[in-house]
Amino acid sequence: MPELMEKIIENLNNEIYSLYSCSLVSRHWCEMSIPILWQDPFSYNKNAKFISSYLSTLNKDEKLILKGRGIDINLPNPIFYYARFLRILSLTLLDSKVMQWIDNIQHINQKKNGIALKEQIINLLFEQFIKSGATLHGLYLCGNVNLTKDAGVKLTIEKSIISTLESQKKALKEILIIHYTDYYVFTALNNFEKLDTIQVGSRSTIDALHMIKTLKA
Amino acid sequence: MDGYTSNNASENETITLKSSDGIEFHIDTRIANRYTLLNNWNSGGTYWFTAFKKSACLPNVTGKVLEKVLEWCEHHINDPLPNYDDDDSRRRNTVIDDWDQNFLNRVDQDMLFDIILAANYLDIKLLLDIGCKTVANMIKGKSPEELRSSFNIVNDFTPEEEEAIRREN
Repeated sequence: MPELMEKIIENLNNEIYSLYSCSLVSRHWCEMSIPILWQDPFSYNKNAKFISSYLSTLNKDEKLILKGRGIDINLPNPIFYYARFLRILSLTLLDSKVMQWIDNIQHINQKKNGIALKEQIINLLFEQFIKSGATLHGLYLCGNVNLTKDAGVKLTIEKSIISTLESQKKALKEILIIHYTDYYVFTALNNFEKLDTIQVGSRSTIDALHMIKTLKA
Repeated sequence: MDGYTSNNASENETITLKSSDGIEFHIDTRIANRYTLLNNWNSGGTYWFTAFKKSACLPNVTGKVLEKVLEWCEHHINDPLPNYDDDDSRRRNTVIDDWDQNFLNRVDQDMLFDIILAANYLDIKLLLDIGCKTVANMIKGKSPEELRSSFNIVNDFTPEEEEAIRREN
């Protein structure tokens, strides 16, 4: 009953091992399970290998930028455009997985420009998520993300976050902003069609969220 | 939205359902009233169910399968109707009520698939949901080879494709 397999596999949305098995059964099963496996890869994956699958779809110019920073992305085009499947994006996890990925591939090279390289990759990934047409359900900007002190790069990340918010007005259901003080991000928090929850906590009220609101568009 | 008009039907009223192999089942009208397709049978197509005829043929469901589906419907006749306006993802997990679990565990795999197909055809959403969850539970923890063998699936990947899926995931 191929027509109902999609409905069956959707029930496995937090069973990563099972979904991975499903992806290797046949082409049809693969097409059904991969989009679920890639909804929230930053939480699901213990290692950061999956970042390579995103980066292998970068265009020539983007790869050149990374090459200039000592990272050579030389992988065949992936079978799926994985960025399109993303549903949950947490800046904290994105940050830590990209750092982990850099640590893994830079064991031989000198670890120079670590933070700047990380910011560069984060920006490229943000752009890819927006370009791919992914429909995000959750965006979490929280935690003590070690953002660069380079004002130029920091501004680019903030722009990426705002662009993400702007591009997801019709999709986002949940936004969480804690320990994140950039004023401009708050200006983008309007006119969301499906937003159920927005939680905002400021640095000055670390122990408690000072605003928990439920908004229905 | 499921139709629900039990206030208009007395407990004694019955309708007749006829399976593809000609077996007749006399069911409580309240069961028919709970499900959209049963309510919409008079609106066209091959199937019909009207207040005048009070009977319907089901060309896609055998008597053996229909008997199991109706057993499930009868057990759930007094349940409150679920709200299907809720987001689908909230219902996605593999938790199944004890009676339903027991009911579906008693049937073999072919019958389970037939029940799911019948529930889909008859638009009985809750039975379709628990059937799909039961199959999802059968998938859990199995290797790709075990899944192919359990579900009788041919591996149609080229070796290169399979290698790429492993590399990218």
